Amino acid sequence: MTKSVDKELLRASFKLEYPYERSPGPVIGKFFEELSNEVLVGTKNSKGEIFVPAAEFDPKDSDHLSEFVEVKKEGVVQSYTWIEKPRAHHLIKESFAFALISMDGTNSAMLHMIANCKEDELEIGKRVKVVWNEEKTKTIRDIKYFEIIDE
Amino acid sequence: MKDIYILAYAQNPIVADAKAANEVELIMPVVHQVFKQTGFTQNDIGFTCSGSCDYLQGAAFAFVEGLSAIQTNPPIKESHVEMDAAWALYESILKIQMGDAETALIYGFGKSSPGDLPFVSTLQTDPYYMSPLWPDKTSLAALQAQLLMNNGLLTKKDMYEALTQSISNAKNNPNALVTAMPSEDDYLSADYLSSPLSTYDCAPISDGASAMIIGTEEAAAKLGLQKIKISSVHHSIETSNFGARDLSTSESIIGLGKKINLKSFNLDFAELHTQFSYEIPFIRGLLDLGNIDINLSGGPLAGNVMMAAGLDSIGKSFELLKNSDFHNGLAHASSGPCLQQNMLVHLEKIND
Repeated sequence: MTKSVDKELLRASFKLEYPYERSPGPVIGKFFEELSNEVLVGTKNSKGEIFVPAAEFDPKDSDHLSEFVEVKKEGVVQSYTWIEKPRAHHLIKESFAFALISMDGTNSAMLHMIANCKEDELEIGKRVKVVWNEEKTKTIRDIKYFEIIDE
Repeated sequence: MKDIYILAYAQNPIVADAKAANEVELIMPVVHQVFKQTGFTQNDIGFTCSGSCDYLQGAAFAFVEGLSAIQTNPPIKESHVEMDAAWALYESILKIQMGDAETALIYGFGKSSPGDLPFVSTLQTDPYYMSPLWPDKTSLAALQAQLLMNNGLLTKKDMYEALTQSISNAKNNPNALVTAMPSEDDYLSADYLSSPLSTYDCAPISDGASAMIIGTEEAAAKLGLQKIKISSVHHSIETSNFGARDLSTSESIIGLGKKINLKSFNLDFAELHTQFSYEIPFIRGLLDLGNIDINLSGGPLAGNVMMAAGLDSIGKSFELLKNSDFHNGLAHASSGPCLQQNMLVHLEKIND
């Protein structure tokens, strides 16, 4: 009984996506605009703490943030996870890492990817730099990935 | 504040793939079971609330179809949370505290098997800075596990022990999905999906549903059942700015431990909504649980129905208190990457 039911199941193709568009607004929009110029900016709170990627609100006291500062395109790995065999939706098809990267002089970290290295070259505290995507889309993907700085 | 009691709880057998059974067919048996346990019908329920995730079904307002599992004519007072059903329980508690209801029916359901769950979960992350990079649920958890290992707060051995204890405990739950015990060699030699986590460290993809009925003291007294009271319940969430969180600790969990006065009673056990092996030793440390038994039901590592597993922690604690000499249980529910949002519930057996 069950078998014949299985055979007759209706199937429909389905793409996993947001079927709508989002407006990034004045803070995230500015961050993306600058990314497309290969410039990295963050927002600064009244205590002088800097958040990259640009935060609309202070993560602690929720104050609205609107002061932008430019930061260096280098940072430090706060944590990482090595993906030996990338899976379905991963953007990089060879082994890579997801990482939390704190850009120099900032007080938060950015989730992104690290590529062009071996797993044993990577560790918490390693210094990395931005590699830009040639084609800009004014999204977080304008940063292609990060790579280790040879020192 | 009114005293609120758990009156009934039921869980479907957790399966890896419910195949053609749809969500309504998963919900109906558990709703019937909690009605049977209490002798109630839908007409005795003051408020009904469910927890589920439309992304699992892949359609907006998919949760509405779940209502076909219960009687909605004559019209009922009803709500839904796009969260684990533990938060549907929380909303129900608020409704009762406000005087809008004396009893509430809560149910949670999830059928994760048709999709690729770690990536479906990605769609629930920040749509500007996170989800376009496709960080899967396992990789986000791995970032936390790696940091804890780097800080000397966690070892693979801790994770293996948490896993084997969970699977060994799963024999206490006839509905558990995973009962096969991996050897230490198998565990340590398994390829990492996202370092330092292998498949063994991740809760299994599961289909199922659970339901619960709660009520006021008057409702509980009428039933004449063993009284299990929700003595304290609190939840809190950390910032959605993922990179601004300190993943080496959990402000949310530590704060909640204080809010429910964890040190003010003799805790007998804890049921934690831990979807990755590392979260068990991590939360044990954060809440200073010492040698307290964790996840005597096997917990999510033995079966993890998305959007019901948090409610299951509370339900399993209720069952354990009812069927043992234990007096105080702690239940935990969680949501979001790396334990972003948490709920702690103190359940207490009241002897008349």
